[in-house]
Amino acid sequence: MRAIKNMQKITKAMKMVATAKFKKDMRTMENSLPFANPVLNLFQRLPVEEKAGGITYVAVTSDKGLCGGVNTAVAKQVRLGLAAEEAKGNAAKIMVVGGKGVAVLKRLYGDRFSTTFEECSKVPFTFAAASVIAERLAASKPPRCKVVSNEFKSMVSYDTIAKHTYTVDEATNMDRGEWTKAMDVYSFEPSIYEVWQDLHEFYYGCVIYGSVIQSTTTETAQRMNAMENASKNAGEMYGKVELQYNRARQAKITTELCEIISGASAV
Amino acid sequence: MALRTARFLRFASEATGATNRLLLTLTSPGEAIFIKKPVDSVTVPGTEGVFTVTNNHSLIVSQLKAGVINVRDGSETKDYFISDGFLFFNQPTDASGCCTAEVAGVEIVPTSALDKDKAAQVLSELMAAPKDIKSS
Repeated sequence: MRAIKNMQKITKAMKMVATAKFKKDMRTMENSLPFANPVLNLFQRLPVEEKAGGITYVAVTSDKGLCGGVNTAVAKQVRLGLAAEEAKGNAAKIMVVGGKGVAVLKRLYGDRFSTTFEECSKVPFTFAAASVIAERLAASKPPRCKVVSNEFKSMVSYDTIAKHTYTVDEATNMDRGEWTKAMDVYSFEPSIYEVWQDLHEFYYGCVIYGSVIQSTTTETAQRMNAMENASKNAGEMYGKVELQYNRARQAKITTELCEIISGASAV
Repeated sequence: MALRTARFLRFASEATGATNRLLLTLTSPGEAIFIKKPVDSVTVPGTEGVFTVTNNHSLIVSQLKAGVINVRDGSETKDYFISDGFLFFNQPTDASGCCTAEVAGVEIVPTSALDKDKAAQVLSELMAAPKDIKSS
């Protein structure tokens, strides 16, 4: 009984912590999404081409558990996507951000791992950290790339999406007609050939930054829910066990009384 | 009730964004300084020279270098320091005729928050520090 009471105390405390953190995460997200979105919108003008060839999956997960199904959802998306790609005969690689994703995917797909990043959430995630990850991604020169992460929708809901991310390979091998249609409405300064590499690196950075920030917010929101449910369950369990305990105690007292009375009447 | 009114007012101030003005979004990774704020013009340090954009400018994507961003709204002007970043200029998304300019910079701070003497002092202290360790 004491164990259950303690458990309830812990889950309640974790919920409080998550609530406090959620407010902060929410603020960070509101501040940083306008930063990441412009370049994403620009790249969205490019057409998506389904091509064969190697693919890199970037799974964005959290470092800590006890936050509902957010990490499992990401791992599942990666697993399904990976199976589909490999069925088509495309070589697949995985990059993982966050310890939980590593733990879940290691057993089946450990040999596909190219790079993993853990303990990203110990300090608040910064654009510098995102750039480090993006740089590793750019250095591995993936032919195609998908970033799997949780998109924050509201306190109680989230979407796990595999975001198609344009790679340098795709951009350079794209059909020139399509390319011109998408990009020539803009005048680039310096000219597009000079600026493109920088812009693409910035794009990688923003994709990673946006995904991680959203995933973190989702994680905290889901942890709040999970912990609230856990506290509730612990409360119910405590109630049941308490009833059982009181009944047993009452039964014991009654038998003892019976014994005393019958003993007294025998004398 | 007070909260609801405040919310309503905030919504109103966003919605009544004047027509035919430039909507400026000025953001760094950690801070959104402006989000779709209507302004008259903004001057940014492009890698190929400083330029000013106003509403109905031609669509442009420009790389920015370290320098000062100058935001003008009526008679009010504000200066911000940017380390480097990009400017994206887009056509209006609705019928209001407001084009959007989005400046995404790695570091953006108001110039008033910067103090050259202090920075020089801290820098010299930092430069001096390793030598102290070595000599001791």
